[in-house]
Amino acid sequence: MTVSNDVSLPDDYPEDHPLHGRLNLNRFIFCAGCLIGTAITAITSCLVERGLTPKDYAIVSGIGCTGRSSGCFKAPAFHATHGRAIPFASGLKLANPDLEVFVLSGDGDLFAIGGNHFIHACRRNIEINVLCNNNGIYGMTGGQCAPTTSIGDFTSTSPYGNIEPPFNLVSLAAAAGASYVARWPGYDVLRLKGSIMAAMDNPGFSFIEVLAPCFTQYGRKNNLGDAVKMLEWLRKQVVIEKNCPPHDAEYSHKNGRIVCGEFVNSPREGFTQKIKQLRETAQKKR
Amino acid sequence: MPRRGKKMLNSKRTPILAPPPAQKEYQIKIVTEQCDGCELCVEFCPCDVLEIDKESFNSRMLHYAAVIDLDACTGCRQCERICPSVSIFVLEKDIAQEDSS
Ligand SMILES: Cc1ncc(C[n+]2csc(CCOP(=O)(O)OP(=O)(O)O)c2C)c(N)n1
Ligand code: SF4
Ligand code: SF4
Ligand code: SF4
Ligand SMILES: [Mg+2]
Repeated sequence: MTVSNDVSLPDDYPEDHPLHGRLNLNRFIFCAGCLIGTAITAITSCLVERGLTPKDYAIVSGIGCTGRSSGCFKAPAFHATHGRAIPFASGLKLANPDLEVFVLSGDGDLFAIGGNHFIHACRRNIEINVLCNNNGIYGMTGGQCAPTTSIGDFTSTSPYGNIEPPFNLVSLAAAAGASYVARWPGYDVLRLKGSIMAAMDNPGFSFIEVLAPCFTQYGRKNNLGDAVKMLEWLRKQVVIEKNCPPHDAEYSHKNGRIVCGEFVNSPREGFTQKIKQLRETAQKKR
Repeated sequence: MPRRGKKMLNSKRTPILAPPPAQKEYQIKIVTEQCDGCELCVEFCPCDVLEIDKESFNSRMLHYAAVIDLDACTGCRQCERICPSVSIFVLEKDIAQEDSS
């Protein structure tokens, strides 16, 4: 039996690593095996591959386990109040349209308390990229029922099984007018990174749903096991479909079918572009 | 022991042509203090390179990942991409370039 002597916690990658200087390694406080950390590295490596430096981008998160992710970025990163990550990010984008703005937050944060902001950001098609870490539960506060919890699932506020139908996030985003919509399981990092790149290319509102099971709360209440077992459970249900309309993108644990893929990619003029045009016409009239 | 055959992402296929001689050498760095021992890298490595070291602990009393078969590593970086606590990364060295210099 050996005990590691290396007790100094590193706070960065070695200098020859591409992600050197981009992440605060000692802020990864998530449960062992929770894919929130994977999403953080996926976003960061996409930004690095694009050649963006920390002054070219900003990260905003709300409150919750996923909300804690803003602390992990060595960049302008903002931990907004509960549900208000999207308005905060919209303000950043309007003040500085050259900034690449990412929102990384939980399903409860973006779709329960922040649901209103989400649909209006989609409607306006403001040029921000929103990643929702969907674990179908309020992870941080003790496993309460979320607007994404499937019917019949057990949570601490639905001890006899949930009776409320959940939101289908991709269908909601598409109906509200988002110009890029995708859904990927959190372990499929290559495809997720492809979507993050496409979201950066899209001149408008981009939404990516990332499936990142919460074994600590959801897994425990529904008897689904640890991190690895829950990913196995998820992988059995994931079906990747090409050109599937967003309203047919089934998400059902009961039927064992979660359709993943890219559902909407129809770029249209973004909100900051329209504001720019409006400013020009207003100045001409004066 | 590596649990061959019951892995989640088993992408091993029989190659049609003989693989070209290795041009790169890979080194896997594991920051044992940062590692949570979650086993995701072990599960997702397609070549059974990694295993959780059940004999050793870090200062948080967690078992950490260890390399058991470096020769099998293809440098795909799946372990680096999946690791939720950014504790593992792959450094590569170009052997061909080193020979010529
Ligand atoms: C105004 C306000 N209401 C309620 C809370 C309590 N609260 C903190 S996190 C959270 C839910 C987070 O759920 P989610 O966004 O799904 O994040 P997860 O932990 O699952 O990643 C709630 C209700 C709060 N912090 N502020
Ligand atoms: S409580 Fe759930 S969502 Fe939060 S870090 Fe742990 S596993 Fe992840
Ligand atoms: S995925 Fe990362 S944290 Fe998990 S065992 Fe491997 S190196 Fe450790
Ligand atoms: S680089 Fe690929 S083959 Fe090598 S250890 Fe990591 S996952 Fe396994
Ligand atoms: Mg949640």
